[in-house]
Amino acid sequence: MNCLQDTTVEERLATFLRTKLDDASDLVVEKLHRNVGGMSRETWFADTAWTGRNGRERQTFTIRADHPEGSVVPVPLEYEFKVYHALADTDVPVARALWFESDPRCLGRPFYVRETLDGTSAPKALFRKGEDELRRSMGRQLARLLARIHVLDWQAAGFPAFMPVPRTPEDAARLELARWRKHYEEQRIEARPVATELYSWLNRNAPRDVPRVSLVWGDVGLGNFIFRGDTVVGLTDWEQAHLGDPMKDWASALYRGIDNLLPREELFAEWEQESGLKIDEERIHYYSVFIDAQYVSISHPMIRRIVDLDGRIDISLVRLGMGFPFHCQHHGLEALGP
Amino acid sequence: MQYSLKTYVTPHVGDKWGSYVAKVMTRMLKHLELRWKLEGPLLLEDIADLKAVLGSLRASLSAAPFEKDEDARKLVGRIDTALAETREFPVGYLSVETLTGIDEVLRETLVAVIETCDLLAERGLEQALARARAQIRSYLRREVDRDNQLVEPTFMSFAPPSSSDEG
Repeated sequence: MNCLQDTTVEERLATFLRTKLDDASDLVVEKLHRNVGGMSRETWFADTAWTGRNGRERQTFTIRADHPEGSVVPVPLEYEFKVYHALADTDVPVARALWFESDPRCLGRPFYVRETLDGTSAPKALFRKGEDELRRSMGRQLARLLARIHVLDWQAAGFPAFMPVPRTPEDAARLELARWRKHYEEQRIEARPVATELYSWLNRNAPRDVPRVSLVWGDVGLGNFIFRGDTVVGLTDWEQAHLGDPMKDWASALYRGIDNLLPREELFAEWEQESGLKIDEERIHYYSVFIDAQYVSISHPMIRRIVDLDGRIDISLVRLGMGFPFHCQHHGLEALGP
Repeated sequence: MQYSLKTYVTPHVGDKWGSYVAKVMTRMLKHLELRWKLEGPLLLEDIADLKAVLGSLRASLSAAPFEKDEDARKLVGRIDTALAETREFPVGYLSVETLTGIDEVLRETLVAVIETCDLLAERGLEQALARARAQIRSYLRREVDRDNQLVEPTFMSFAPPSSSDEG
């Protein structure tokens, strides 16, 4: 691999990019900075410059890699790359995935590169005083984009090549449930009766009537879409995407505050009109508990790595392993009722 | 340490990620402070609670209609063993590690109770499990309230918009 002769990460990345781009033999990485926010994986932005056919060119690339301690979510990095890749030729707006590099020698870990969309994902900009209409517009756009995802012809887009396909309506929940429960059982470092109780309830109450299997974004929420001005230009955080019940996305959207943009009834009306599908509040409730179980399940691997890595772990990952999951234990139990 | 970090380190970290990690460290130190003070007493409380709940569940699950079910009988035996193993505290100073070990035996037993309840439910006994399930839920709420006292400083919120203060 060419980049091995280079010493700094910037130089290695520049060498990698030069091999991928035509006419960029003098490409340099001028700045490499890490994104703050979003913890499933590391996101870096690489500001590059080179002399192209039309003079000096500049482009910022987005680099995604697992944490040195591993991924927070039980999904391979390449799976996430494939989701972006498959979405590129659909009408769902995402940054174009460019190259996946499985060889860890270049940057110390496998990584992939995608284009960087111009805009911001910071929710703060939406919640400034006087931005009521902007928020409402964002809410409407997101509801319509969710509808677009949920009626997407996922077979034509090639998703079954790398995603398990539910064969029965019940499978829409059960495939994911089995995956997460297995992850929990494999990784748990101590007895967590609350997690067992949540999974028990989820297993006994899996929806049997799911009218349509859809592509599910998997992590809908404030901070997970990019907007420029008053327009949503890209959807991010696709690592938990799967084929399943579209109500899971609504559970996620409400869990993560989308109804602070537009009241839920208006969000639902927009989505129903655009998709032709019907909202089912009972299934949204089910998937809200599902999300609690997912977050509880990510805690053990995070905490386990303190021991496995002899303490060489970013403290923010340890905090993540405790902050969400314990909060979700409480939330999940409340949702189950007495 | 919390004071020094907050006063002399965090405000002077220019890098965004570095600043975020410094803020997380402040929260984790707060968590450790609470753990130092409360972990022992909370473990003692949890052990007493678990013993009472398992005793009560044992009574429910050894009566009709469960008394002839093989899995229910095995479970009752397991509860008996766990309660017998943890009846007496070791003599002398009780470390947090010792208490955690005792608590873990009881928690694992409760996990087995929940899993066995699911097996029994598949055999058509769900209605008869209502009391046991309510006892379990009630204990879990108390347990979560106890845990939360320790980990609350590490909580992260999805609430807009100030949630982005620490990413």
